[in-house]
Amino acid sequence: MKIVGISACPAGLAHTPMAAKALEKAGKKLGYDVKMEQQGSMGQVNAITPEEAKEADLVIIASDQKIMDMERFANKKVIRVDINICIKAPEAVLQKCVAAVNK
Amino acid sequence: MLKEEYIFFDEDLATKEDALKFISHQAANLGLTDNEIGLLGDFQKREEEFSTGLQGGFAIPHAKSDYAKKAAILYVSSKHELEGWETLDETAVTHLFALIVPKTSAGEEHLMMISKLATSLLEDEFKDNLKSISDKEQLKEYILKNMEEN
Repeated sequence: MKIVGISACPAGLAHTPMAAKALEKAGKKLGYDVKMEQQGSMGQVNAITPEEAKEADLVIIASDQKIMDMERFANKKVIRVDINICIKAPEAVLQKCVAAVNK
Repeated sequence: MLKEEYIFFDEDLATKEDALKFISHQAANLGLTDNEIGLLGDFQKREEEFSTGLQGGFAIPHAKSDYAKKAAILYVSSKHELEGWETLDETAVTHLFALIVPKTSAGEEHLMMISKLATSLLEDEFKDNLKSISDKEQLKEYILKNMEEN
């Protein structure tokens, strides 16, 4: 299972990198290939390339903000989640999203 | 960005509001802002968007502010559990990192360090170690080491 995603928060300072790292770590633990792009105060960090976007089985948007370059994910299954939940319970977030895609 | 003078232990604070006022006041004392009230307003505004309470008793109030003169991190531990600070795990806040960042000229390096600090706070070991260190110089070194490493 290849999962890509984007995290973004109002200030882009702290929650953005925290959610990205939490999900990547949870992915490693659960055996999913997770890459998270951060759209924060440093601009786009760890950007998802068009190829990676194309190969992804699932796109997770951890944000209630406006996200740049969503065109990459045209025709992809995109799930929006609360950024705080991603920090608090990243494994549960991944499991739920994967379950939703497999349905 | 982090100095021994930016570290405060066992402060007599009771609420989130107390803590934000304390941080803003100390920022003015330390010459990090010329406008304590303005900086406080920016911290409060950020908290209204959503709470910066994390897990394990930590919070990271932050302000990207026109009133910040330079990027700085303040560390504060409170004698009391801070009331009114919503967290992700319902543990009351007792320790906090206040991140003060100028709106316009933050500097990539500082933002990177803040990012590393924030992600370090996902680790229980980091939080436990912070709570157990009672020497300011040692704490400063430990935090800086973590911000440069992972």
